[in-house]
Amino acid sequence: MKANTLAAIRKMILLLVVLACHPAIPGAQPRLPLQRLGYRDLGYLHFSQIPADGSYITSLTATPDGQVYGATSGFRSYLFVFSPKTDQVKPLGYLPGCEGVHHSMAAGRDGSLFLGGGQNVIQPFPIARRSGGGLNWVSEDLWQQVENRYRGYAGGHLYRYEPAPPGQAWQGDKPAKVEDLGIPVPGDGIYCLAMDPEREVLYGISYPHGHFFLYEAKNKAIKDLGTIFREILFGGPDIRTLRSLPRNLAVDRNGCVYASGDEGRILRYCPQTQQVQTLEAAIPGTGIRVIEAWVVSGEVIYGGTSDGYLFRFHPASQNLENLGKPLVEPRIRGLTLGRNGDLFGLGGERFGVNTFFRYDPASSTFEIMGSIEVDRSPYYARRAHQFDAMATAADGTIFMGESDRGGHLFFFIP
Amino acid sequence: MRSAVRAIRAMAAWAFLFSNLSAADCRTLPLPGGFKEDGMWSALYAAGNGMVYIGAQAHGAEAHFYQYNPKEGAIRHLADMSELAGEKAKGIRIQAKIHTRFVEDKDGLIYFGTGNQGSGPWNIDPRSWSGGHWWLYNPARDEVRDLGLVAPGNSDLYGLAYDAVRHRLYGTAFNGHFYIFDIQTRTTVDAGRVNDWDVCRTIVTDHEGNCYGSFERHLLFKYDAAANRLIDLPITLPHDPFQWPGDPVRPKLDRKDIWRVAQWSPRDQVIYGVEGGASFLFRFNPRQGRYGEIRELAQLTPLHLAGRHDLGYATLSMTLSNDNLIYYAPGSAAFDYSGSEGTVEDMASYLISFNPADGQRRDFGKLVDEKNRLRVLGTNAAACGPDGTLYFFGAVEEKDPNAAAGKMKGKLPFALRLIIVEPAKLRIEK
Repeated sequence: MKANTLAAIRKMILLLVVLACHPAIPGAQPRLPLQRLGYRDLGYLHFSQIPADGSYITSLTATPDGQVYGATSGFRSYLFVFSPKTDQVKPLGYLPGCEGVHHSMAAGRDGSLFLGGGQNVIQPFPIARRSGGGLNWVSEDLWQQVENRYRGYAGGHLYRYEPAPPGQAWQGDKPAKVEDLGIPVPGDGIYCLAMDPEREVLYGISYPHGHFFLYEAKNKAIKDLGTIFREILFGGPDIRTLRSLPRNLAVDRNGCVYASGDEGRILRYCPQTQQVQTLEAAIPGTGIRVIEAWVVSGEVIYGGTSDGYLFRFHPASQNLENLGKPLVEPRIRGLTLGRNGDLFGLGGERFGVNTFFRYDPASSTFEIMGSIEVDRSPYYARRAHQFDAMATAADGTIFMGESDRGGHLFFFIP
Repeated sequence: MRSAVRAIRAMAAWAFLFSNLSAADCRTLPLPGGFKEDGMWSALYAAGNGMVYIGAQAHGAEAHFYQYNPKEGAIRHLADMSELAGEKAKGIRIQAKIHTRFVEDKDGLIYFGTGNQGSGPWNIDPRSWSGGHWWLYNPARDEVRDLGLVAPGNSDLYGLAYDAVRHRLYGTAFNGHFYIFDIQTRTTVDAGRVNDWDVCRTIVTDHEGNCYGSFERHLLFKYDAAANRLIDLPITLPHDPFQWPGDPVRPKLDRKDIWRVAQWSPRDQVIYGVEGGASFLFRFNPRQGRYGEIRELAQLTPLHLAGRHDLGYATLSMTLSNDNLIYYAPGSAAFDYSGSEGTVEDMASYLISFNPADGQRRDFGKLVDEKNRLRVLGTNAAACGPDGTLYFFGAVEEKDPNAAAGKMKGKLPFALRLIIVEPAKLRIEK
């Protein structure tokens, strides 16, 4: 009996020692496998060919040939491409007169890329101290200051880029070889863009006035449908979470486009009806809330909200399921679908450090994977704070665009 | 018999203190108030009014602001920064560090910044932390004023510089961002992230109001005030490429990859600074060429460590004297108070001067308070007064256990002290 007790104690001690030494004990800081997480400079190792203050990555799109295209915000916007053949990111030039491509990049059926430009909506601007008063003075003042920044602004352009073989299209600090498709909403920038590749129609929301527009690629026609929001509540620079303008759009298999509208209700525009409808379905959360990221997965669409909820929307039934809130922090900053059907996302506010997570639809579980800290010592290392775009490459690699000064293209191999 | 033992002990201590050194004699003064601060970085300034200003802090407690009056030879407590920020008795994380240098405008007003910088306490909800603050001290009114929050979150200030042309402050923060504060309108703009795993501790403005700093690895950034752009310069800091990282497994938090300390020389119109790895002194002339020109001048380690690749990261203790000499106080190992590296026996702060005009270097040996027979164990700030007096600040051996703020390597008691050096009395090490 005594011997058994001693043996049990010895086993217990051994177990405790093993647990104490094991790197993956529950409760430890979530950490991604170092060898499956990396990044690429926007040019060469330790040297970005895109100036640091022009490299906030705010749009990403993967194409079937395995390439990943991105566009930036900053003092001016740059276009770039990652090629799996070269394992490098190379700049494709800048968009003249454009400060940002914010959630506004889509691939067409023929491989063309479409981009929507605007002013830099990432960089905070100084809010002037002005005197005044009366009902809603504070918000009126802020709104006027935002509008003032767009006074005299011609408007953000739509662009079409035709991909060229690696090497042939690489541009340093030169204008990108793009086709200018015009200005959809004069005086406004483009805030988000999505494409119906079947009908070759682009849909977008303008900033700051919240116009809904479409561009028909076949006949190069632009239609500004005006504002689709009853109230446009502007929360200030992007460091503020709350606003009424949705930060993303989605197009389902039938070509209907979706956005969030007043009171978080789902808005739908279908080419068949050519009308904007406000559906009964509303995104999770309270008060002012918008959709930050969408990703289409077969018959359903996943979305992430400004409150930080993940939801699943069924266009056919118009049913919306709240899947929960993976993080304490608000804002889902990016979503992308893994090849196995898992959903990968990034969340958190602009003044914090974003967190990477995975959602497994089969088990309805979240896995929190921590912050994006690449450590390829002794070669390179970086702690990323901010992201605004995600895409899944043809081989299943998850790409994440760092939307910070000196941004990098991060990747995770699931 | 007891007397004999005491005498032998005293002789041994004396021999230990002055073994293998030619001491740079200094005076040291403790901080008043009994707050037992255990850390201080950069926050030392000799103002035009002759006063010396100090910021010090204890981990897990508030930051304190002090003034040393050379005429009276006394240090006075000016402010508890968390009290002024209205953070007392709220159970929240508070303004726990003055990690910036102090800067002065043409009217003699003095500016600085505060933050928490991971001071915790760890068991106070981190989400209770509001962010760093900008501050103004008006010597004429003897008044400290809160100029407001830098930004929500980890905006705890490290580097601070003053743009005399536009009357603005520049700051680098815990989150690696570069902030611009317009003093007149009291508005802060986040100009973007400049640092990754190590935040630039000292940033410098030139005569045109452009601001310069350093980022990983061995690179420089510039805030171009006229163009309102924050750009990376295609210029590399002089460094030893064979220098071992501070942490051989993870480069994160390695302080060897950026400049540690830098200062604008009004006489030469250039920046002098010390990089973090091999303690190379450099001169950066921002007006030379398109982006500026940088040149290595000397290695400011103690002589016996020169050429080694396993050095501790550099200290923050560099200042320019009124006759444009560079004074620097390196350690023999990475110095960070209770978290210092090296052995107890190695703990020492050395004093070196360098004349950029003729390249002459002078080594004065270890800093020692001879009167009180106290070793200076390490420093992390330096300044030069209008009368040429040199000031350093750091950890000094403490013989009174009740006055000790901590223990080096868990063994050697220390307290924070102002270290005063008269350059005329310095003797060159043999």
